[in-house]
Amino acid sequence: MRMILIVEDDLGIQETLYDLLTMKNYEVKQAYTIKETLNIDIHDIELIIMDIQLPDGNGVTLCQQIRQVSQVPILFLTARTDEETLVEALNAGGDDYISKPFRVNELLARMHSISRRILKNKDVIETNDLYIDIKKYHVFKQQQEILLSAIGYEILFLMVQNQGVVVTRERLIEFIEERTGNYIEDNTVSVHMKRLREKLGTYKGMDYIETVRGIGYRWRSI
Amino acid sequence: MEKHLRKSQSLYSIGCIVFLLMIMMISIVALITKNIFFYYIILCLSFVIIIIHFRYIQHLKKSLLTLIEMCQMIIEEKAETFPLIDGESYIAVLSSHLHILNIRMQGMLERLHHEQNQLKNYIENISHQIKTPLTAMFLKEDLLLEMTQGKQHRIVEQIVFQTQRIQDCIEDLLQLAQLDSHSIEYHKKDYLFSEIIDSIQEQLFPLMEDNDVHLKIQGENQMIYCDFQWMKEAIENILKNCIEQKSHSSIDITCLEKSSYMKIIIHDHGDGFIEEDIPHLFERFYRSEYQSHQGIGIGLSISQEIIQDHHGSIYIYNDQGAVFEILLPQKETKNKYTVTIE
Repeated sequence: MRMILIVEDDLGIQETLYDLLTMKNYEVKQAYTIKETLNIDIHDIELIIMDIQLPDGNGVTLCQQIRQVSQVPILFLTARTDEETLVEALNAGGDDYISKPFRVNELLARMHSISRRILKNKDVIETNDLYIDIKKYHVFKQQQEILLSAIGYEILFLMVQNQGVVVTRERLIEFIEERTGNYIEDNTVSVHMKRLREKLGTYKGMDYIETVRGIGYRWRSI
Repeated sequence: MEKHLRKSQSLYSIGCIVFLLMIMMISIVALITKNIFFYYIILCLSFVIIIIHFRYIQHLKKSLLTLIEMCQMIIEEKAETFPLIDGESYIAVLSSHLHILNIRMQGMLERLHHEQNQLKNYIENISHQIKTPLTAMFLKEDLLLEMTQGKQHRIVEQIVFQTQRIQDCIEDLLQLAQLDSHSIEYHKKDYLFSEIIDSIQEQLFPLMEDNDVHLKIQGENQMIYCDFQWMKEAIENILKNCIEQKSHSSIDITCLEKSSYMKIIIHDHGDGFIEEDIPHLFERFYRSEYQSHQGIGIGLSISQEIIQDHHGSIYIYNDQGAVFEILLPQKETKNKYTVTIE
């Protein structure tokens, strides 16, 4: 999930979110009103973070308008906590909401949760310079197909569907054991990762998979 | 007949006197002449009086019933067809007074609803105004946390802590404002006691971990009729109070079914309340002189108001620790000031 649109009229929140998300390697577009939002081409955007209360209207209405042309995930920011508003927002096609005031980690967690949900349902995922067809078990890097072992594909799909989040060693061990039916050692995970890295190569000088010491691995969106 | 009621009142009084005089005179004549004929006349006259009497009473009754009906309509706030009694009799005057009273009351209620609505809108407005800069503050603090190290980082952490205090304060005050405006729409349904407690435990998990406090729950399968969000808030405030009392201990929370109400008992194993504080614990902004406390002192006040809005009550006493007893009715009762949607 790279390109994010933030629709929020308060300068303080807009600017800081821009700084924070850019630091986390997201590309951020900004809109301050409904009118501005409608002038933007939605099709490149992968996530919209939208305040429900906007100066020229209601975020929920904007959501409905967007839903007529796109299924892009929408995360609402709301100062209101009453059930009616939240239900209305989600019924209009919103994917989730976060109540103000919030910390940046909460926001990131919800963003990742939405992203995971989307990726789980996707048959095809494009990330960095890879084209991954989950249904057909095809992986293309710049038009060249990369062939992997059966478990190699499974691990790749798991990492990519959880991009941005650390997948722990424990989870990987469980995952591999379930799919191969064998008990494996801690070392086996490292070996699989090494093989995967070799097959995939690098992108802009970096590995697709990042090792997070002592915890696990994370798929890089570069 | 109503029209001439006033006239008939005087008519009745005069008629009674006339008849009585006639009966007296004929009785005297009858005694003197000892003629049966006169006794018959007395009998007839008495009969006539009794009949007229009854008719008159029936008449009054009917008018009174109409008046009672009018009062009933005022009580139930059904303003539509208001039966009026015509005429100049006392009862007619009374009925026209009631009519005016009704109109006044309708007017007052309308104004009350209007004011409550306005207040609700003000609260929503202010709420938004405050939450926006708070959000920006938190986010900028998060940014600073990423950008600083060492001493600067520690100072930013302290700022975050203070910002958190402000947020807690604001949330409490906004809740109070909502409760005071009586404009809350409660959505009441039957909920499993365990559902409510689980939700609270989720919320209070970090606080409980930090203080090493755990809950002992009994009566999980009991059903409570309440608004989930608000009742959760009420019980949560009490539990927060208990958790802060004593670390490394447990809190007993029990739900019992009584004849016509449900009882929730929350019992901590701390030092209990200071006797002097007990009568004041539900007062707003009350802070004990004898105990130091974080917070601005409205958590319990909010809990009490929520419980009262549920037509329940709450009692506090000491018994090897502090005990909170919440009584909640099982059936809903009608109340003009809180709107309930089912």
